[in-house]
Amino acid sequence: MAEVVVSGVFKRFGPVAALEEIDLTVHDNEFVVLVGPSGSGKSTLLRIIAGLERQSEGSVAIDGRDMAGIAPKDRDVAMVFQSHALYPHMNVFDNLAFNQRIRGVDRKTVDRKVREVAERLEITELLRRRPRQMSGGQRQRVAIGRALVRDPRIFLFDEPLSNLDAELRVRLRTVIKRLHQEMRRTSVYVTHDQVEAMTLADRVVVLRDGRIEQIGAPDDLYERPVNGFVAGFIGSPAMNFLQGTAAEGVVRIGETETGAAGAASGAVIVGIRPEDLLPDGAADRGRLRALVTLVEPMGADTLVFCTTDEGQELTVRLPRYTAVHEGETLALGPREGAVHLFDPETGQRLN
Amino acid sequence: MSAHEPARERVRGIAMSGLKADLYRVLKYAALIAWAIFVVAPFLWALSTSFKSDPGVVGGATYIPFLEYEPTVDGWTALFRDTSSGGISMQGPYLSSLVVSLISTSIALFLGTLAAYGLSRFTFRAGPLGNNDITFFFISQRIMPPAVLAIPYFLLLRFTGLLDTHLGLILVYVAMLLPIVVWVMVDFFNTVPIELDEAALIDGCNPIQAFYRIILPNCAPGMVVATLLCIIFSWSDFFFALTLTFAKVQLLPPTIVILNSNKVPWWSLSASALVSVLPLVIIAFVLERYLARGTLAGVIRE
Ligand SMILES: Nc1ncnc2c1ncn2[C@@H]1O[C@H](COP(=O)(O)OP(=O)(O)OP(=O)(O)O)[C@@H](O)[C@H]1O
Ligand SMILES: [Mg+2]
Repeated sequence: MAEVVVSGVFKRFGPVAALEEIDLTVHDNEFVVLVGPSGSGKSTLLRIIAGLERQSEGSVAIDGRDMAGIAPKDRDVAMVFQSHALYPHMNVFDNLAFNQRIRGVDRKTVDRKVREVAERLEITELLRRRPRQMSGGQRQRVAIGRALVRDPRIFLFDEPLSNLDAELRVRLRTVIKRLHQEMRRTSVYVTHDQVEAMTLADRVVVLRDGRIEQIGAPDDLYERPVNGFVAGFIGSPAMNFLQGTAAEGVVRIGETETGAAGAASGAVIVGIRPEDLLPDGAADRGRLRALVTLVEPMGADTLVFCTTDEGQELTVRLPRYTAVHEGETLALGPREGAVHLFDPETGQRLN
Repeated sequence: MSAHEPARERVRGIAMSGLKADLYRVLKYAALIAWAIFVVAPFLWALSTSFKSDPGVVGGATYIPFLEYEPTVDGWTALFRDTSSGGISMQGPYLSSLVVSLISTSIALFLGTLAAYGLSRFTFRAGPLGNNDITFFFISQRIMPPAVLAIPYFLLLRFTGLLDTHLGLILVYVAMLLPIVVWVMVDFFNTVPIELDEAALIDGCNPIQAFYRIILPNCAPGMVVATLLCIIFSWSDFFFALTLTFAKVQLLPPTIVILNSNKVPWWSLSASALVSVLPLVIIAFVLERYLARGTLAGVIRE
């Protein structure tokens, strides 16, 4: 059982407002991912939950108990740092055992727990090594292990994978996901990698400039972003944004009718994801004529970069075997119901 | 590691042709040998002198025992004989010096590391002054030459009745040593990432435990450097020992120097000089292996 309730939290560093009015409930056993660009306040929020930083206003409660004035060591949280922060003067075994020892757990139990975790993370051969004698991936495994040995109420992760190369990142991401499926512990995970966010999260929290922009399941964020910022931040390659106009219930880009406008009218930003732009024949709405400028085969599919007749840039994701060449002109139409409309002024969703 | 070695050798080979490399090596060793002689020769000479007696000295320089002079252990035994029987009775001052220097070093290390840790980890504000100003304040204590400080210290100790006591001298030494410790240790603490403190706090340490179980062990080389500097200063200080103690408390350096005053007993002087550097030599050997840094290599990933 562990539920984290953050309510009305503000954090100021001198004149800098790092967090503004944060309300967030992390339910028992839930895996919540905080994403946002650099400086958006992700680490600050995590550190406030951990007790490493004190909020300027508002409160944090764990399992209904207010955490004001409670030291990090008494919150029963474990944290994995971006810079692993393993103790350099201890070998892996002692790093894993440190917490248990300092809490006075007896030797036999410590030994058993450490070996169990080491086995699980496949670091048993490393137990006698010092942190500096290991690769980055091994160190981060140990850092995860150090948190696991404790079996805490809450796991906190601050970009644990962002110092690793792409392949390792994918591997360890799977490790973390598996562990969570087995252990079902309340977790808060900070990343600026939205693929990590999408794959790991039960719910994703998108932060910008210290404010929460949207909270929702990964699919919700992907399918119904509440504003242009979330729409552009979630998804890779990013959503296409085009200038359009809404009138009499339809949206037009240039002369092309691209979808229903709902209640919107006047100038709008039309957002279409790269995989929702379909070439000739597949689309059921009007066509955007676009000149292909670059083709990037990605394996499973192909990214096509084009410029429309009006000079707007488009990214299109096509199935693998589509034959497209630079210099060709495509006629593209959006998938039914996959057109997002945003207010050009406020960025808010309109449909 | 070893895979890189041949490549590095090759690069060096290209940079320096065989002949040039040989010449370089010869010059390097010549310079090292010259330096070694320069450093060691005085000790050898002192050692040889400590076994001489009058005839071996007055007739000009002699070097080789048995051939050029008749060795005697008189210079050494005189160290421990009473002054009444022509000795200098060195045990007392030796012990005093040892006690004063060990105690003042311990106090300075204890207070100095705590102060340095605080300065490295927390932000202090005193009006317009911040951490750097406080650090500078510590170090600025050493800007003034001891000669300037001697008279104020003398008056201060006389006022408090601590003149010519071990305690008085220890206090003065602590004041002189603290800046060194703070200066060295702030630098070392700054190289330890704050994430280590935080990891320890989350792992169940209180701040004091985090300090001595995690941070301090990672600054062991710094502690060694600070300890060495403190002991060297407090053990070999002559100036304060001379001005602030005179009758009840006698320390080693003034005792040795006073030997110079009337008829100079070169042999005892040499022997006492050798005995007085002994603790420093022992400490240097014991601590040597800690002086190599590198414990931190694993902390910060590139
Ligand atoms: N100790 C501090 N003192 C002053 N300002 C700080 C401090 N810590 C964070 N900030 C500021 O608070 C804001 C949020 O920082 P935070 O570290 O939470 O961002 P982040 O989302 O984790 O970014 P990143 O992805 O780069 O890690 C930033 O503007 C940062 O400059
Ligand atoms: Mg961060």
